[in-house]
Amino acid sequence: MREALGRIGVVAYTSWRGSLVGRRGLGLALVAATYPLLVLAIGASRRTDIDLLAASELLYSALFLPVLLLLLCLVLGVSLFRGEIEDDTIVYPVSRSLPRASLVVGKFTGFVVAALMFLVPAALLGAAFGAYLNVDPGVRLEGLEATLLVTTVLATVAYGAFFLLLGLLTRQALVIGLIYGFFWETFVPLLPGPLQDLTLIHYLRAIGGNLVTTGPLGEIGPPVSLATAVGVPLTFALLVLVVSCLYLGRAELRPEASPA
Amino acid sequence: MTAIISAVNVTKRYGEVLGLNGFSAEIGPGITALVGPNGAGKSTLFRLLIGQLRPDGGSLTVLDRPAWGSVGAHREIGYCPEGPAVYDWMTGWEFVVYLLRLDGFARAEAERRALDAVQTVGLGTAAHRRMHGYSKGMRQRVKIAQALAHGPRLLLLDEPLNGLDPVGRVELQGLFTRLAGSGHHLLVSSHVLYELERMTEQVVMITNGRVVAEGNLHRLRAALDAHPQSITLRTPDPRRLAHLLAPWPHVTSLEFSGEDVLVVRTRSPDAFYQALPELVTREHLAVRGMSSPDDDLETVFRFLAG
Repeated sequence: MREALGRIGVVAYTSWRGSLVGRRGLGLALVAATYPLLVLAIGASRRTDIDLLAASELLYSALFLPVLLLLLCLVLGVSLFRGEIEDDTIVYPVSRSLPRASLVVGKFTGFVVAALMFLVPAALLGAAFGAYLNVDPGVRLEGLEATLLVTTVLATVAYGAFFLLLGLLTRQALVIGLIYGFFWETFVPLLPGPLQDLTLIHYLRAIGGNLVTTGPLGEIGPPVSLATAVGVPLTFALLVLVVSCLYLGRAELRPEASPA
Repeated sequence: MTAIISAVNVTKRYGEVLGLNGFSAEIGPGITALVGPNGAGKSTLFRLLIGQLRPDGGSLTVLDRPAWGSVGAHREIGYCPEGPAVYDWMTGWEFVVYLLRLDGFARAEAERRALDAVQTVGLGTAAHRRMHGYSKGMRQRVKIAQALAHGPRLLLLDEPLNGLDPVGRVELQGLFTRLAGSGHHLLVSSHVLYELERMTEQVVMITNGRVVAEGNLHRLRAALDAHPQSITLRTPDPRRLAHLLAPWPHVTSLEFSGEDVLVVRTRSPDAFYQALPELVTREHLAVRGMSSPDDDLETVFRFLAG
């Protein structure tokens, strides 16, 4: 067991390092930093007619979560396996005595650490700027940090697992991921009716509705209980990871360009 | 003979293309050469042996275990793929250490073995440079290093001498021979028969996904020598070179192709390659290039296949 965990740890560490290599790490940091920088920019204007904390919550819900976080998870998540399959370096880990499921778990772990390195500070900084640069000094965070932390972590885990599987399944993972993110997760929740229950973001936003009593995140109101809001993305991620392990265990992994 | 690899009627399709087409062979201990032209199915066989691909038909066993799905058996197999891709952002040493740790070696042991392996293949100080700056030959060396670092019983080496200079080729041929002498088994592929015959007498010849000949190299060479081989020489004075080569007893024909190309057909490529450097030096000839086209080897394989 200890050896198995050790090997998964090696994969996780290497996956984490690989996620940050070159300009990609810088690019992803800038994507995540867009949110706190926007809040900072608004705060710097010292406008008295803007509740900066409320603005930061709104930006989190409407920009950070469905766009910035999703984009970062898409780029990192898809590349976990797709990059190695396309350049045929996947042959190295699969030709070792490491169980393929351990590859999935290890790579996913490395991804989560790498993604959260960018996303958690960005989310918390945005809220901090919103509270402390607010023209009204009496505004408090009132549990907002916990909400943002839980939501950011759950969103990363859920979206990341999905994009990992997408990267395993198809060369078109980026395109399909973009369509999923910017159509299914963005527009479907705006439609009336039960369809929004099939989106992850519906549950992720509901975390705020359960934990925060004021501000835009609190005004979402709890359409679902906290247990459901947390449980659905977690269960989704777990199921997707299990499917990924089962798929990889039986998949042939070769570049689709031509026979070897 | 105890078969290290046993293939019975193995088939592998890529859509409508047959990578292997009823491939059957028993590969025994020691070094076995797998020879065939590009596209013959050599790399497909390797990928099946290492469990990256699953056979569509037939049966394939490696070290007495099915090739597909026996992940635990990989501890005893070292694989050097044909393609040049490696993790460019790692150093060569880090690459070998990483793969050793995937096999369960503790950090200290993995680092020690990685150092041994990179020194064995002659990578030198380049082992601590990032691989994105590696030449083709250095990539080849690091790929071989990761294949043998964990001390496998069986080495599957797909075109391991590609990209290496002549000195490097001789060094690694010597290494493979020493490994076989110390009890390892090797399956080494190439599309150039003559670079493998220094290492082994056992050969399997493959074309169009099927075995066309297997067994002792000398017997096959006798058959090959009955069929003239083409060698293309690039020289600014092909006529003078042709005049000097014409008296050689094993040269069957000479043909001019373009202003600076001479195509020689010879019954004994070995004797030709041995004698040519002396001729070039003695007569102060300029030979700028030399090659033996694959399609000619294809012709030989068809000849052997009847």
